[in-house]
Amino acid sequence: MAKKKALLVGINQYKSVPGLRGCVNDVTNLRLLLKEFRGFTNEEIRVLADERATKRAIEERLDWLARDAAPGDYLLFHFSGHGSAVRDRGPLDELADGLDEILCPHDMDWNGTYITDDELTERLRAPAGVRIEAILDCCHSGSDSEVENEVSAVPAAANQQPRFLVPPIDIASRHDGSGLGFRSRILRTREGAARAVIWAGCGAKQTSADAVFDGVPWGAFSQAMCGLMRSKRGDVSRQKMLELVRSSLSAAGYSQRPELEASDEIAQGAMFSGVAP
Amino acid sequence: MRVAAFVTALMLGLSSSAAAQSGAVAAAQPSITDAELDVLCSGRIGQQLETLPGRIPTGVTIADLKKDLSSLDVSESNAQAVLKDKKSTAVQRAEAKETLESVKEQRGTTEQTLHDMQMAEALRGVQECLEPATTQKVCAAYVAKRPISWAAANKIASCMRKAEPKDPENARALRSAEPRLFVAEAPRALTGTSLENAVLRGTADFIIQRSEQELAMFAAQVMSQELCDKPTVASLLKRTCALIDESPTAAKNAPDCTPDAQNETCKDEEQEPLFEVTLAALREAVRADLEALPTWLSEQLAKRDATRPVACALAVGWKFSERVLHGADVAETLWDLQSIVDQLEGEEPCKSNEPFVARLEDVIAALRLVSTLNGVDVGNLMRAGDLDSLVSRTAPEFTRDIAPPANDSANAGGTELTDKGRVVREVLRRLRELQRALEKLQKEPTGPNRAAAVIAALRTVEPLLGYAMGDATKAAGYFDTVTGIVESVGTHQYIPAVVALANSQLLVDALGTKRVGRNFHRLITLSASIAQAESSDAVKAALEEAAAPLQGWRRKDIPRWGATLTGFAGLGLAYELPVEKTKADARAPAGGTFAPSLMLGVDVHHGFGGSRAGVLVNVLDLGALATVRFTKPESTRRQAQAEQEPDVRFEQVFAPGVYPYFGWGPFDLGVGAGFVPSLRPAHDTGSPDIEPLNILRFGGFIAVDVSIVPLF
Repeated sequence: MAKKKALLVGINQYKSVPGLRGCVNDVTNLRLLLKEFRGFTNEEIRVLADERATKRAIEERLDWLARDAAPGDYLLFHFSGHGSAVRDRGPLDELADGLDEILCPHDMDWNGTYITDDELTERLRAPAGVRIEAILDCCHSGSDSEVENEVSAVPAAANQQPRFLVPPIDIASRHDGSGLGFRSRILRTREGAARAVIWAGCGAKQTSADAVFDGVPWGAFSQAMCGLMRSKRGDVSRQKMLELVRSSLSAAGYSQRPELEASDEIAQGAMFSGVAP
Repeated sequence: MRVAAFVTALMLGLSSSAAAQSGAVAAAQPSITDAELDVLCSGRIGQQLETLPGRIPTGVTIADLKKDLSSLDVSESNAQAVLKDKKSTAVQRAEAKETLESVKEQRGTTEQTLHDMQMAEALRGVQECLEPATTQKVCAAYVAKRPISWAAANKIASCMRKAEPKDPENARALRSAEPRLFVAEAPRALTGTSLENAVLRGTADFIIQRSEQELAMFAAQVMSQELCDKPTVASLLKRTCALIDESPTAAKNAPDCTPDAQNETCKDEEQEPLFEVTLAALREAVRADLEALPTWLSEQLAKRDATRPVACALAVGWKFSERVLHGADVAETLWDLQSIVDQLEGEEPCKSNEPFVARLEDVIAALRLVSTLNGVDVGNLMRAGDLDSLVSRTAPEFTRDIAPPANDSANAGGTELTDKGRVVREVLRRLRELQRALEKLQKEPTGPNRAAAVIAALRTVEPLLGYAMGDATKAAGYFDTVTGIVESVGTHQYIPAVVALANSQLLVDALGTKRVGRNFHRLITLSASIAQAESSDAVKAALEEAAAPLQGWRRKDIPRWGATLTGFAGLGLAYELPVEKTKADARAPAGGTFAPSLMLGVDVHHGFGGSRAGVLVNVLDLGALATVRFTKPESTRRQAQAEQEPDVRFEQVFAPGVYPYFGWGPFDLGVGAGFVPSLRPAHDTGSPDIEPLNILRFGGFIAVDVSIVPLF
């Protein structure tokens, strides 16, 4: 019988960098949604939040996620927290933009305590036939270079905060603005493109917002996605969800433009599911 | 006066605790957090979003979260069951452990979201409460990352207190977030980053802290004079007052600086009224006094005719417990209760209390009947607790006094007991508890076990004494109070002991008043706080904070001239008159102000023994920035508006003025005038230009005198 597993990471409190507000709530939001509409049990979900979401803990949980995966299984990884970029240590991307996009764990530092897109790809390696879906609600998680930062309908307010850590100057100065982002790295192989789904909260040159809705802090992208999923009672395809989330955020005045990277077939499939359309 | 020093010390303990608490809050908590302002101001941002074509859909509800927590409980209990099941395999156990860890993590995130949502719901009430203008001002300042004014923050705090969420959990969340805004924090609300700002803020904090301590010291002295010299209080705290009386430099021996006294000490600036009793000794003395609280109560009860039977009953109870705790046979002592009564009959409080003693002897005689039926064997005695089964084995006296004959029409079943019979049965039943308590004490002779045995002994004879008093319910109430005190004191829980006493009818009756005075409550509660301290350091920490260096104002009372660098922390009432025209020929408004006053200046003074007069040459007024207008500015050609969130700079708090004043105790009352250049930037509506105002201020103040440095 096909298995399903989910690893949800939300980090508001960082050890040595400025914190966020809505990431833990994003985890709760998505977790309840998975239970309500996709039949996940508490035992099939792992959560890491704040001080527990260290690099090591995230890596261990990623291993748990991919462990014993078999064709037909569905694996979901969700990350709400800071994203950033560092100089690429590997050969693959150096010529493109010289940067590795990173996820920032609780114990983030610029000397290597972060999770690069390469590491994530490696950790999520699973046999063919396993559906892997990653939702990255952080800055620089996307790769769509065609989308420039748009002017927000709402002036930058104190209750909105980008989920982006400004890298050190030596790294920032090398950024040429053509970042690939996580999804391309994971989908680069033919095998990956056939099984992976990557949601990004914003384009490569945009920032995902940590915002307050009705007095409660959430990630704008996660909140929109989960809210729409509920309003559709879980019956919505990924492609349709992308359209709805984009229009919803835009109508609410957010400049970020979420992205979906998946094959056409998978994009037509139901959200948070390994089932083919 | 020496006795007064004791109460002084006690009062300082309480006051300084409060001051310490306040200080801790001031140091640890900002007046209102960014997170709260985020929530508070999100409504405003939300209003903007309302005008846009779409909105982010609604997400999780509080009900969803509570349901989720329940489901996590189920998962947890399932995993626990697997771990407890001996048939579980190693793999199942490993999975169960993993589940437990996972559930813990999931519960943590859900609870955090729940808290955020409850907070948001609660703060919606605050949003409704706040005036739109205040909200706008606060949020505008917040978005622009400017400081929030004290007045605005205070309004937020007020609304938080007023908001009463229907859901108790929301209320709890709100209370936990309520900004604690004290006068001491007023300068903190006017934040800035400059060195000037830091110096000014620190100075203001210092003056306010010292003023609180001065008030504490003064209150302590007043209390000590009013309370500790009273015979009732002195009788309650015998050992402590004796200890204080022996302290050579106690407050009671403070110099009498009235003009008539001609006390040389008053001229000695080095002489200060210090409290020299060691703190450990003080604590032990207070403890000893509180441990004698039941005895003291008995003494008080014995003083009045109305309460003398209670005192006699307690005396019998104490005597009984004393005997059994000294190893006397319980049953023998009980049968021989008459001998205790005989012994006490000739002395107070049982002397001249004949009706009570007669009824007591009557019921004791009934009790003895049981012993004649069953001997004095303890085992039989225990079994005899079921008196009903003994009815058929009765002597004539027994059936008459305890169990009426079966042919009595009112006792058809033959098992109905008389009032005395019911009392005897209850005593015998309670005897078992006493036996158990004594056995426990014998095995473990600890303080709490001893207290439990005393309580059991008192409880055993309580029905007899209640019968003798003629009001069993009232007697039970009295004994509840006494046993409560004994139990608490026996475990060194002095505060509960005092609370049990303070709230009891017994104390009211013992003191013979309609109600116990608040001051008495304060004193004994304070005594308990000192007695409860775990170490002398704990007592010292409470006392030191407000002790030695204070009361500099006393020097000013010495009949001679002097000058002192002084802070005045209090309230000012003034009329402000702008002395120049604003830009564009707009006449700035005049108006009355009522403001916190934190003045700093040189004070030339002359003492009159118990009071003083002087002239304050004021230099700074740190309270000026927190001014709250109570009359609206006049409107002339253009409406001028006072700005209450200026950056704090020396030029803004520089407020030279002259204020003659009269002082009594730590308080000063002054009137005068001052010039306040650049007090409040005021701007004309519609113009972005900000222009400082020079203002003449006429008014007065009442403040606490914080003498900082004596100049001569």
